[in-house]
Amino acid sequence: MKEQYLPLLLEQMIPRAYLIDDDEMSCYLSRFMLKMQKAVDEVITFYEAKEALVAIQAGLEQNDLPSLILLDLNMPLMDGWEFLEALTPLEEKLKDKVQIFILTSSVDPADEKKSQTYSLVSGFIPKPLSAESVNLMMQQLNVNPADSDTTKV
Amino acid sequence: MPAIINQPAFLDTISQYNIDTIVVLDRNGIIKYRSEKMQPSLGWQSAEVIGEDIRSYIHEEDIAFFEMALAAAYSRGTTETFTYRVRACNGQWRWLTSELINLLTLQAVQGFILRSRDVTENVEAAAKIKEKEAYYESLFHNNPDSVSLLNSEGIIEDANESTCQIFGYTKAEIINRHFASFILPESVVAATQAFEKAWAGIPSWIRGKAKHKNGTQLELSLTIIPIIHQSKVIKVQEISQDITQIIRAHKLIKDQAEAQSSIFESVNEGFLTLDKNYYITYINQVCAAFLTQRKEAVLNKPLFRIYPNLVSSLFFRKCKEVEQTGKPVHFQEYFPLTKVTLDFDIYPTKKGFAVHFLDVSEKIAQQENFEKLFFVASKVSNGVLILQADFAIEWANESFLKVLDISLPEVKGKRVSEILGENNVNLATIFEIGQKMQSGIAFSEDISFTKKNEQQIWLHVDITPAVDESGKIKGYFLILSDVSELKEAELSLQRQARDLFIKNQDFQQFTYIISHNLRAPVANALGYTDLLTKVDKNEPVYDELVDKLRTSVTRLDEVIKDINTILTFRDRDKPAEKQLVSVAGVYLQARESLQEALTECGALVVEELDENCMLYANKGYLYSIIYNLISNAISYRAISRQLHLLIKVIKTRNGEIVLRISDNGSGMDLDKVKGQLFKLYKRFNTKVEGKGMGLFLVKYQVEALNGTIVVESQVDEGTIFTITFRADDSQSISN
Repeated sequence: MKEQYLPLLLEQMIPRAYLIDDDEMSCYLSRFMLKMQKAVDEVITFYEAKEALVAIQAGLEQNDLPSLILLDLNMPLMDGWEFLEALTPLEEKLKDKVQIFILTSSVDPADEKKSQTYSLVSGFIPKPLSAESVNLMMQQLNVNPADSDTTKV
Repeated sequence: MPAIINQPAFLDTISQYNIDTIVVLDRNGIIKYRSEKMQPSLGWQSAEVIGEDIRSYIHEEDIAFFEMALAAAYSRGTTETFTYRVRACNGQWRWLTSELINLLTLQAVQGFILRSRDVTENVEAAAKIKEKEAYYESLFHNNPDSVSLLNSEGIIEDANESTCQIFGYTKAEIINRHFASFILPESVVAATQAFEKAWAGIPSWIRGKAKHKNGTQLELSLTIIPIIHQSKVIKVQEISQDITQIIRAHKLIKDQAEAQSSIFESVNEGFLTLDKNYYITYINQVCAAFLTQRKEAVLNKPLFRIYPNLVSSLFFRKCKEVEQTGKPVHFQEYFPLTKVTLDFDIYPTKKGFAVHFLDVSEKIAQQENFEKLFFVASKVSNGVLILQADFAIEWANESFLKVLDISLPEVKGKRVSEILGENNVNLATIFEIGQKMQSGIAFSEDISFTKKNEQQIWLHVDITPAVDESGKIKGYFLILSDVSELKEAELSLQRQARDLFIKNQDFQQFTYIISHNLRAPVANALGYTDLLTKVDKNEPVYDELVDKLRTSVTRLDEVIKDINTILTFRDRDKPAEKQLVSVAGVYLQARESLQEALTECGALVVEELDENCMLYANKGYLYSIIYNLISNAISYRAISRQLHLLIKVIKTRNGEIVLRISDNGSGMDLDKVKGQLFKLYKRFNTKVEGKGMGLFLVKYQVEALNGTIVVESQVDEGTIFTITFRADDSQSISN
């Protein structure tokens, strides 16, 4: 029974992903699911979007970026939208390297629609993160590898 | 020969040829002898006069001359000749010239010889000449016209006083000048011709222009006459009459007549004069145009015969009335055919009538219109007010007066601000409107107005300034309508819109709560439940997941409780139960509840409480506000230092109650949190536990109490919350 939840078609594991979410309960769950599905080697969790933004700016300079970002929308101080806005000036530099998936408890279709206006956003996943949505996300990542280097590894 | 000479016959004979009469007088004047046949003019016979005193023949006025001569002869021997009157035989007086020779001592005579000659003819001729001269003199010198005597060359030899006066020169300046030098060039030719004609013996008269010494022009009537002596022209006399004034007077009369005519032509009044038989003697253009005739066509025609229709008019009857009474009349008549109304004045004149008339059709139409408008304005349900430029009331209609329950005489001439009281209107509003009115632009304004019966109404006022040609404001027209119902509806609509807006906001907020805050723990619970199916019960992670699942469900329960709390507060349509509470008292209760936490963190609380601040408020709300803010201050205190709290409850001069809670805690960067601070589940400090609902509730509760909340904060310095409650809701204990 348990085998069917193991990654089926994944050829490569994503070396690193950022998880941006202030809800600790949710983060634990998301990390658990990503690990369980063997989708991501290393998950770095940011409880504040601002900190993630700093890390991305630094990563750009050092050419050390995660190929996947899971972003929550409802957060104090800087929320998911504000984070996306802050990334907009870096869009050109990031677009071939990073794919962002919104991971939110929101079931408001308006939020999904709004997320599609950001070119860096590759998908909208409702919480909780399930094995199916991880698999779908990984498929999408492999079909459209954000970073060709990553695909080779 | 000597013998002959001594003969008496000789003497007598020669003496007949002597033109003189010889009379011998004795020393007393008695006639002793008179030569015969002589002095036939006197007619006396010698016998009649011998022995008579000569004085009895001499005119009594001349006796004195005789006595003087006699005395002279007596002393000197002879006398000068002297002339005197002697009575002739026929009673007439004759003039004699005599001389006396004293021969008293001569033996042969022994008396005075009086040698006389009758000079009556000479004396009378001389007298006649003198009279003529005097006459001429008088004619010459006293003539009011200028009279001058010219010689053959035209040089002035003599001139009279009038000449000096008319021309302004002295006589010396005139004499020896050529007459033409006084004449203006344009008249010189005619004057010279007249002068030459006079030398030919023909008098003539011309009109000419001359110059006064002071340069003014003189109009002269010149008469140039030859003076003929012995069939020869010896001199020419020039008589100049100054007719300047006459000419000017004529010109003036002419000018005036023309001016009068042009006045009659230029006025827009019709004007015509009629003689006593109603013949048109004068007609101006307006009148002619009115009769659709040329002036010349009707002039000197009988008015009522060329316009027989007029005979049936009031105008005709009024003419007759003037004719009979001799008094002017004024009336108006409507002429149905031409549809005009004329306003007539008919005056009697010496020669007939003068008729003035003015077409007042338009004026009457305007008057009628005005009356209609006036009727409407006075009867409409809208208030109508006419103000002068200084805001004094000129007129107000019934509706306006009814609203104020006042009569027109009571308001007339008064300013609007004088008849309105603080009870009726907000005077500041009226003042603002007054200021706005002076701009000269029409505008509208809604004014809240309280009637005498304390009923409050809303008046919509349309204000239109009346401006003259120069742009100066002459007055104002105000139309007031009672728009209370409309205004109430509008206000109610505004309230509804506001409520709707808030409801909508609430709804959005609620959607947000559902999709994020409510769904988040649900999603977590779902996730953990799912995971539990995939993890072996015996693995240590299984228990961990169960624990997480419980936490998530507990969180879900908390959120549902919060939503319940919020919904209770937000049901604003239910009037919150307000009571008079002491702000300080409520604060003290809240502090009591938090005493444990305050003591635990070692907070220093400084209070400045005005016990007099009483507020109509929902006590629970007020408590919740204070509790939340102090609780926040404790939660977000700076770890590095002791918490200092300053609580102030004060009343401002305006009567507002201010509650201020200041702390020296960790503070916030307001630029970052702006607009989100009071939102639900917005948390700004992730290091401290919190749900992000406190300030959301605080704001809702403050607003429910008609208050406002303002926050000031600096990162790591502290935060100040200032809550202000309206004066309307506050009350002093003393009251």
